[in-house]
Amino acid sequence: MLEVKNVTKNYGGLRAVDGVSFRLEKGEALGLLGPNAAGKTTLMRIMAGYLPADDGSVLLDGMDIAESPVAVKRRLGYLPEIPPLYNDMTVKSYLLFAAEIKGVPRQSRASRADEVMERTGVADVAGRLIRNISKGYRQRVGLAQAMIHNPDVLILDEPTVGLDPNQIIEIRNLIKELSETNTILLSSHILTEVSATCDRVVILNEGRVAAVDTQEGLARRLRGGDALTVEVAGAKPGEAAQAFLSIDGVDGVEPAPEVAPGSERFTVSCRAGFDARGPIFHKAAASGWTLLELSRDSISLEDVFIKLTADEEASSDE
Amino acid sequence: MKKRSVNRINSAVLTFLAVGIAFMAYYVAARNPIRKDFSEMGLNTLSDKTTAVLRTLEADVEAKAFFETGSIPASMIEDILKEYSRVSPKFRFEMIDPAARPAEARKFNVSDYGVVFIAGEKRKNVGMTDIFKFSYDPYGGEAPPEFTGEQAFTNAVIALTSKEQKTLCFVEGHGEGDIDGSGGGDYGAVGGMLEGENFIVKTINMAVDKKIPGECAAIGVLGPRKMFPHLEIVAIREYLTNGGRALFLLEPAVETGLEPLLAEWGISVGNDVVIDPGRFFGEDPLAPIPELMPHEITSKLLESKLTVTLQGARSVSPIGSTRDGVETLSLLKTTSKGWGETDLKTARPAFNESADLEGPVSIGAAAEKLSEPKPFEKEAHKDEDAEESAESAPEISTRIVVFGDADFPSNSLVSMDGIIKQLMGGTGNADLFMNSTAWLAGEEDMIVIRPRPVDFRPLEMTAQQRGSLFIICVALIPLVLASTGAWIWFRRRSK
Amino acid sequence: MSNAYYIFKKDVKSLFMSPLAYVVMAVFFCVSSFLLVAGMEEASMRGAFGLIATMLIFIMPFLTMRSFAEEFASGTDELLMTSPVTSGQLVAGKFMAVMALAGAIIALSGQYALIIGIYGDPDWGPALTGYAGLLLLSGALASLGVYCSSLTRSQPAAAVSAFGLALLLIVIRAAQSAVDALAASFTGSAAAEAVAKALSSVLETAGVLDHYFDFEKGVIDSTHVVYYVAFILLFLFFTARRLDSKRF
Repeated sequence: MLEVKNVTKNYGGLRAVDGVSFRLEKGEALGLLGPNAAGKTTLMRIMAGYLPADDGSVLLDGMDIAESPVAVKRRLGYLPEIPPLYNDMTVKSYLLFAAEIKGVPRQSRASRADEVMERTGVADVAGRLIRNISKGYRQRVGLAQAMIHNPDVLILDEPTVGLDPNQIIEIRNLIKELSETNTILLSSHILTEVSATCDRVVILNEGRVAAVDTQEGLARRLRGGDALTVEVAGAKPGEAAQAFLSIDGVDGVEPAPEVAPGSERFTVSCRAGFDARGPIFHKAAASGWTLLELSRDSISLEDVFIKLTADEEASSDE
Repeated sequence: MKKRSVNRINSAVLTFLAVGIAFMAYYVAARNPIRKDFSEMGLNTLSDKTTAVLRTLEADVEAKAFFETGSIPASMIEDILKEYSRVSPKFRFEMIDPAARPAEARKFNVSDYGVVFIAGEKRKNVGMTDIFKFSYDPYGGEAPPEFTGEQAFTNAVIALTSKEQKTLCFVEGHGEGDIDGSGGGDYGAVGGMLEGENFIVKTINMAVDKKIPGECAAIGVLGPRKMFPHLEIVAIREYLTNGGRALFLLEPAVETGLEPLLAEWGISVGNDVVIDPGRFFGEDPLAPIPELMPHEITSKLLESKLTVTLQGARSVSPIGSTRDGVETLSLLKTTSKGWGETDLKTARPAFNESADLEGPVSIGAAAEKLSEPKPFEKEAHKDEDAEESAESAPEISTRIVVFGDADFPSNSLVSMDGIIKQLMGGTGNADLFMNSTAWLAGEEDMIVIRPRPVDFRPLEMTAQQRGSLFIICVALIPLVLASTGAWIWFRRRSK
Repeated sequence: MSNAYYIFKKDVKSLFMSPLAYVVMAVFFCVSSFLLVAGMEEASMRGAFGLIATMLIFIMPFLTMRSFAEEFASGTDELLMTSPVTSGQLVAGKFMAVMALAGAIIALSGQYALIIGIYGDPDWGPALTGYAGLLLLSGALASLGVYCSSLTRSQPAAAVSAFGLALLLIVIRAAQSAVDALAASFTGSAAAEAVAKALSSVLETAGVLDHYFDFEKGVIDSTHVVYYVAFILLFLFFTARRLDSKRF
């Protein structure tokens, strides 16, 4: 549904996002996990159309946000890291304004506002100035704003940051509830939050995708599984993946973003302690495929998790 | 190419295009202006005549307007000069407050408010009396003043840009006052003004040539103290007969030999001194303040209520001329109480019916004669410019102005500060002299533009009304605004 | 275009709900009335127009500084920029909101028109054209200010740069005489002289206040109208480009 293709963004000499690609499927909740300064916010801003990418594209059902921003934005709901709230408005008038500029038809604005207020639990502060409501409420109003036009995709940037534990739980439950009906991309630097709410996880480190995996795959890797990157040329589509999966000791073969036409890339995950490089080489040689790349993942996932855990500890210390 | 740089280039091209379109639109609009004046009296619309003059300007013309900053004349004149400069890029102007920059005013010989037009070396002054006309209703009410500035300004521009510059020749050699001199009895002050009016001012001595040079548009004889030699009288007679122009300022008790010549032109110069107990300056009945008789020369003074003060004058009266077609008019007259005392040595002057001239006594006169057409002789002197006017207007030839006093335009009476001038009377002395020379030199306005009323609409309110309005506007309305703000703010704060 | 209206409505509400607008208006009319009412002699709006135009130059930066800078500073631009609203609509709405406040100030100056109407017999032609001129002038100042506001997240910086630019565009006329003097000294080089002359004629027409005075007098000249309209559209366009360059 929402596809990120090779997106790159530089800030001055600094490469904040570096050739990131992944897909968000309809109905799924995808977590964007990474330590602080991994480029999550930049990436989400690009996906929401707040920042232009230097290179690459963001496609919603094949529609490029750079080419038809209005049409794409109509179908996106975005909650920035700091909720974009007008302090001098009441909650209700703020949501009505959001409904107006997000193209909700006139007759359904009021009912939409009531509905999202109900769902996010801010109905009891509807008439109060945003200036005067608590942080948890502000985050919910931000969420309500993102949902007001019933978007196909919700992009939520660190929705629980800076909240107290009770509020975090409330918001997580709310997101969990939303994920039943909506397609959600959620970013966080906290592993448990992502695992609590998401089906699949994209791990971002220093602007690059370190891994894309399901909860189970992630758990497996955490237990010590190993991953290889394999690139072959000359195989029929699907043939290579099938062949590699048949190797005893290989748990999974995931297609990775392609590099050149005619070749295929895979992320091959193996049982702990098993080195699949030998069998893969032989398999390829026997089938007459050209093996272009065969490597252990360059960034050790371990390192990322150490960072993540450190972040988590730091934030729970706060 | 990377997407980002493509966007940048597009953005630069678009911006460039937008700036280009904006400039083009403005350029086209500026080239074809549609202008509509919504003021009731069309105060901001120049006449077609002025526009035509300005469109054909070849040299740069600069105007320096000396007016009190913020006054009504200043804003009217700034408005109209702005229109001038809008029509022609060669016309520029500057508003100067003479009180703030007195040196500038002195540099341009401006003692009062007025506008100095400058083109290269040439200058022309336009005074207040040329810009505003005050007419008086005999039944008491005061009619609104009229603004004749456009006519004055446009004629000044024409005079400056016309190639012709007229020469005024002042005769010397008989004890006359010096037109360039700065002594009390000299005429440097009005001489400077003449130069300001775009005249060439020079002195001639007839003792050598015994004739009037052909370049002289008019001659001036300012208070001679000696007899003119016979040959010089002949030369002047010859000059006048052939359509010459002359100004004579003659002091009492001086015989110059010009008297018979002037009598031929219907001007009798009496050998007397004028005493007017009816209207005089200070405590000196020998300093009469004469009434101005209607004439082209005096009209502007009459309009602007200026007076002339003389100092020791003799009678100059119009009489029948021995020449055909000469019209002679009196310019200044005493009251009926005045008389011309012929006994110049008496200690106790009194009116003597048998010898003295009975009042009202004329102290100045102007004679004018239409010339017979003399095509051949005229042709020789003419340049291309004058040709057109020769066909349309009847050629007026000889003009003579005589005043029975040589002191009134002298430095001692003219170059005084405005305030002293007011106390001394004689506010119009310089104007009388200037208007006389202008008339003699044929410097009438080339074009006539309908004057427009000065559109001054007063506010009629009592001091009390003004006081309450002041309180309403300065305190009440801002207070209401501020409290509305405070109220809204407090109301919302508690939400 | 209804999007522009929503932005307009939101901004107008926030302007009129904040004490700033009222403080500005109260100070404005306290000062202008103090300078005008005591000395009013003529049943003419000209004095008032001159004063209000001058004061608008000082006031407008305060009215425009919030427009984008505040959104950037508070992060609310993330809502606007990620909504299905084009930059053009955004800028139009913001500009119209500032103009609503400027219009309120200009309308309140009707108190002086009321005074001269009651106590005198004014020429209403120049009074009406003067109001048209004030609106165009404030439009130019507003578009300039909105543009400056889109360059920064700091409101003071927006106000200062808007005021500085406005001032520059007013005194630019004075630079003309300097360029003319320079042109006169270039007697040798024809090319340099031509450049100086072209520059001089651009400077002559660039002054933002020079195009206003004719309105005060009662004259409507298409040149001035086109100048202001082009000025306003150009700066609004710059502002929209500026926003576009920041986002998809």
